[in-house]
Amino acid sequence: MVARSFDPELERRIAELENDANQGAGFTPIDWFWLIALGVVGPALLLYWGWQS
Amino acid sequence: MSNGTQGVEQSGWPLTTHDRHWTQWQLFVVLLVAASATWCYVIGEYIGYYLNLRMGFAAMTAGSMIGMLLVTLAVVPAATRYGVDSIASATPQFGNRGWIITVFLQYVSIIGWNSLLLIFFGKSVAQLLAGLGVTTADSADTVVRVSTALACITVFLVLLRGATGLEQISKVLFFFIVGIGVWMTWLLLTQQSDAIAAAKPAYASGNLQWDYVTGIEIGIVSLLSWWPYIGAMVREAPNAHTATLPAMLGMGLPVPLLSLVGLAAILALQVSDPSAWMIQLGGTRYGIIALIFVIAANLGTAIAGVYATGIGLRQVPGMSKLPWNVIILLGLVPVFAVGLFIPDVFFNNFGTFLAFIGVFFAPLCAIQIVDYFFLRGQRINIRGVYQRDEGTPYAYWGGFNPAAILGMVAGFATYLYLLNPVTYASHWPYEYVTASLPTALVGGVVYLIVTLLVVRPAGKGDYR
Repeated sequence: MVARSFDPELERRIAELENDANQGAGFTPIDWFWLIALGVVGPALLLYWGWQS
Repeated sequence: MSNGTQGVEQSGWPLTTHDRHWTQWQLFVVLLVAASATWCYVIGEYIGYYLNLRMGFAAMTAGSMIGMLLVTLAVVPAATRYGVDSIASATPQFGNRGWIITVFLQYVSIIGWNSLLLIFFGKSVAQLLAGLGVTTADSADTVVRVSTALACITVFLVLLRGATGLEQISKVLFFFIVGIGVWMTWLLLTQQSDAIAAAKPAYASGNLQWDYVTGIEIGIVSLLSWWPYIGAMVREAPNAHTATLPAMLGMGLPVPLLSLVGLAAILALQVSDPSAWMIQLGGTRYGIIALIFVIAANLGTAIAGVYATGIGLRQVPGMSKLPWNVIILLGLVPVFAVGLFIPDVFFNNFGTFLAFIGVFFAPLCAIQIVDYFFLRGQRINIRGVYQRDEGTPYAYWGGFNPAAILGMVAGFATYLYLLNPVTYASHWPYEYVTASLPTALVGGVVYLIVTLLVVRPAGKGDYR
């Protein structure tokens, strides 16, 4: 699959990151709460408040 | 930080969990400093052309947070899982040659923003020196050019230390930016409240709903322009949780809050540049304080921008081995050239530049979100991101993914139909839905359909 080899340091990094245990975790449920609160609900409330003026 | 780690930070290679030590607070400070610049005043100024203070603040803040949500969902998950920047995070969608599209967009976007910042910086210096009687109005052009050159040299020297320099300078700038920003807002709102309340937006269309949606649109596109910046910084965080609130609150919220200064100033005083109106309000002493803010804020953002460009350029074959100082120069020389030769032309066409951001980054974000969350189960092939040969996971057809290209084209056409980036002439249903959100939706849906009907059945793209 790989025609050319990587720099040894890059190869080491990729090999390490191919292991799930060495990857950063994704969003947690709390993160999703904040994303929806700050990116959807908050803007909707702000727009309603602004339109009332 | 060891030299080895610093070298990796400048290489564009993925950071492993051992390299990623930034806490939520460190990331928050760096992102806030990156986001807080005097472009906020220009953004506030544009919104003040259409809306009063309350509606303008609501539209700007809501739009900004929506834009930040799109950028965060597009970049943060992959960048923090694999320690990669925005460009590398988009390789699975665009292909192992198609990433050149994203590198180009990043390069043009960051150079554009940095040019605006450093020209703004030069203009502020010229204004202050003239106010102090050090120079005359005749020499303003020269002062702008010399100031821009000095700012470029400062950015270059700080960035020789890579992300370490960025993080260290951010700690210092943070207090200037937050402290003086809050103080300027208080000064304006208390001393000019009557003028602000009585002000009529200069270019209001007569259709309040159109004006309101345009305020939201300006907020969204302003924050979409964080796409090129954010990856290089959030990849220093060990996971998505560490980056979520810093991204939303550190990078998303400061823009509308600081834009409030520009919005209030344009309504009350018809000028958004604080180094001009603070002299008007309180004399040269306030003007000097404003200038310190302009210097601190603009330099912090310019440093972050050039750093992100450098990491992005590292993905380009042939540039991966170039010395770091040469890479920094590639991000700075065009800025210097714009500041030297065409500062006024660029400064006066800011609205078109903003629309350009929305045209391209809205579908780009949507494509990444659809691909990462709905098609790949939140995993990419990190080895494939760095493989350039035929037959590798992201080779697609000649290195380009037609789904991404068609998604971008469809998004581009949607935006142009809804809102002309040059004249701001619009078509239904722009006044209900903005231009960026439908653009993102169309770009994402086209990507999804082409991937499901063509790319995945052809066995391309490493879909499972």
